Amino acid sequence: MSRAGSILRIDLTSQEATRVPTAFYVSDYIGGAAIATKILTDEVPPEATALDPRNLLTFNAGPLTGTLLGNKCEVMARAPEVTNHPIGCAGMGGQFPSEMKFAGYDNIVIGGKADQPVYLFVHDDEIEIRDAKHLWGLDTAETQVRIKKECKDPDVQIACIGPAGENLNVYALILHDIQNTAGKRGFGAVMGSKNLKAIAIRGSKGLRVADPEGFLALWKENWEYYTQGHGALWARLFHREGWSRQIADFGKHLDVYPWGYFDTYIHPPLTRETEMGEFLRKHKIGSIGCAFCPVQCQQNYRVPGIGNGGATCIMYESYRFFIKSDDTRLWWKLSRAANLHGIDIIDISNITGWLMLMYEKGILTAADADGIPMEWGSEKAAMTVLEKIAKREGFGELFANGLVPAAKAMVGGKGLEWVHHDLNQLPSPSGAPMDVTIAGVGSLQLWRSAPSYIWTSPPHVDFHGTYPWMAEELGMDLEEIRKTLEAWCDDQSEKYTGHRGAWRPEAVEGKAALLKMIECDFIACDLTGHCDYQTERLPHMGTRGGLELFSKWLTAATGTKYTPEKLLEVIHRKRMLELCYYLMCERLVGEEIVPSPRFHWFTPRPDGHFKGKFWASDLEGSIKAGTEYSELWGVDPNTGVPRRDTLERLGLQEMAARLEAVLNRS
Amino acid sequence: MKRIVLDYTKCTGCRTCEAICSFVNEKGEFNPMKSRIRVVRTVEDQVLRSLPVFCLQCEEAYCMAVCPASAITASDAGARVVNEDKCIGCKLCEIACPIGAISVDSDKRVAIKCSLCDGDPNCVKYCFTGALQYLPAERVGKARARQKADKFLEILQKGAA
Repeated sequence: MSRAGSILRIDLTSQEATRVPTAFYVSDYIGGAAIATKILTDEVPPEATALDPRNLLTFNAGPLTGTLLGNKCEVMARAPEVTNHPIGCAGMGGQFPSEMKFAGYDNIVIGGKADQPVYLFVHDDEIEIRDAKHLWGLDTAETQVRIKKECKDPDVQIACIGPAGENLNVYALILHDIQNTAGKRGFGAVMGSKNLKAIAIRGSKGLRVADPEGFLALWKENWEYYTQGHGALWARLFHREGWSRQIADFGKHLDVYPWGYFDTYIHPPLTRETEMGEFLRKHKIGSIGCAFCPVQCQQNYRVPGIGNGGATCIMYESYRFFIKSDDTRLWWKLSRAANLHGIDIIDISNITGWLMLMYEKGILTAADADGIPMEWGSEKAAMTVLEKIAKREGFGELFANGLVPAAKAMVGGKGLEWVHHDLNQLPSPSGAPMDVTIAGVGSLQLWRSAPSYIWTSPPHVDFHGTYPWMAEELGMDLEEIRKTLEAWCDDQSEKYTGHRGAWRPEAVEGKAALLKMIECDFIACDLTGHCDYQTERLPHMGTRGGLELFSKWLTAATGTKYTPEKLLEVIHRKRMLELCYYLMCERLVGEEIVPSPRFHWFTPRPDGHFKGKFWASDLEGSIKAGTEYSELWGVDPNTGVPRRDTLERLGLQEMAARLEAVLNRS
Repeated sequence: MKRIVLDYTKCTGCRTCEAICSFVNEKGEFNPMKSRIRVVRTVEDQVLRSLPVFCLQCEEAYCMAVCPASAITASDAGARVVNEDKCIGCKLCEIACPIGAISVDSDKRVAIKCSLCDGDPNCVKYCFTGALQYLPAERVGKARARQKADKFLEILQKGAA
């Protein structure tokens, strides 16, 4: 019930399609990303690289996907090495995930490599591998237009790559529709390595839930919360207004977002012309989003002289801040171009910012960038960086494997110390400075195998990014709203950790439990197909989730009785599989994490909320939280290796034996 | 008598109306193909155009007129409804409908169309943007006029400020 019933497996080398019953995996892995974790850790040899034909590219919808409570699929594969995280995942929403389910598939697993460019057309039970030579080189928008015409069906849903993916750039993304992306982790390159330009899918089957009445009641509660309850405020202001209010407030109240490449947090004053809200008022033609979602978090823009497209979330803060340009038209031009080239906007804008900082410091000259002066805010420079990297031309070739290898290769590695990346060696987003205690946890071994949540800020960051405009909206003064929101966060922390205040950046007590709760909430989204922006980690912003709610949803949808404990067990199993696999990769191919020297980048403004205090000095607290965190997962904090009894309790004897063999060998 | 009114400028193409329609009318099944309301989504030059297509409950309903089995009748709520027991699945109604709001279900082999959910249409109830509304017939014209006038006044006020 609520599952489509089959996992579609495609081998591009032999051009064969097979179907496996989802039921085979359900009791231990429930669905979505957890099933993919099992398949990937079982079948992709740890010594295979991301671009190896043995790698599997998987699209994973959950049991809630395609119902009114779910709209995403998690894209997963062995990720390009630069991420230092063997199994990467990136969520993708839109219409594609539910269409997968309507076509009859919970997961799509693609292995092998086609001998020439192809695209996949899945129409219910009919699977076609079609020639895509004529599509190779096209951008992500044109690719979809052509495929829809060829399929003679405007309702076919397409996920595709652009030139960056074809050129195997580690920052290449997979894009669907206007603005739904599997952005992080370089899956565009994995898709490109398989000579797979696109997947087009169309379904006509239905999904039934086990308890229609119960399910409807649960959905109504959720719908009302996001359309009339506190979640409505969050949905409207934070998302449908395109972060404009929040971003406008950064300059006035916050010290969260850098201006340039983390070299200052002082923003120039906003004017009417440079305010993002003005761009939105002038050019927004509508809100768009994923299937069945009452938030509709993306904005559709028509911008004369540049072109149309969509924007959402972190896209608003990337180019704008990294290259020190408050020209909103330039922001749009670059962001749109990145999407069309199929390259992740956070990554490419981070790289551009680094190049500009290096140029300012005299570490790089124009000659190092093929004759282009990398001046702050320069359209020519930023566009050149984007195009050259996406197409691997000139100095862009150096970045094909990532910013860190490029920084090592350019001018004798002199710019390496300025690189900001997260623990997975992915370029840092401009905002969301890490909770420093969590940063400490992150430097311990266990975190290495964690999914992509390293960027996930605990509540305090969004808290400080949120309350000024919420105060205005709710008619409260700043102090009043601050106290109200803090109380919400305190309550949430107490509920999950037993410690009020665990969410605060300086807190150590309860931090490990809070981190685990955030992580579990995310993983629950990944394995059910619910949007991971609607979790309990942001209580002050009005989102809701939590394992209890997920259990109720799953029970009503599938007919199997789920409890938070059962869900936690499955999450634990998935998490330990990933960790074991990571450890095997580390031993077998020598992948190791290299924390960025600037990982603790957050140096607050003296006049800002944090009064210039740099919390990262609390190393002792971080280690304490890290040790607790390892213990919570049943992992030895000294070695980072899961304890044998942990694995056995989860039924992972086979994986335990594989890991032991590798560890003993090395 | 009430009718469903559309303000297409407010539609985000989220398809909640499709999902809830099939869920309610097909007793717990999510299937856009079986929804009585169909959201036509078209992306052209990176712009999404979406338009929910639903039965307008024609005064002179061609579907009803052409039905050889007299399976379509008028309900108290003002809807043209299909009696599935009488329907012979001939598809004449599909051909006759001027906007494609009635179709023959590929599983049940009978015509399916909007029944206004017995006077409480779920598509309207859960359209969070207000693109779909259920209004008394006599108020539809005025409601549309008010909507446009409000917009006009807002623009004028902005200009004055």
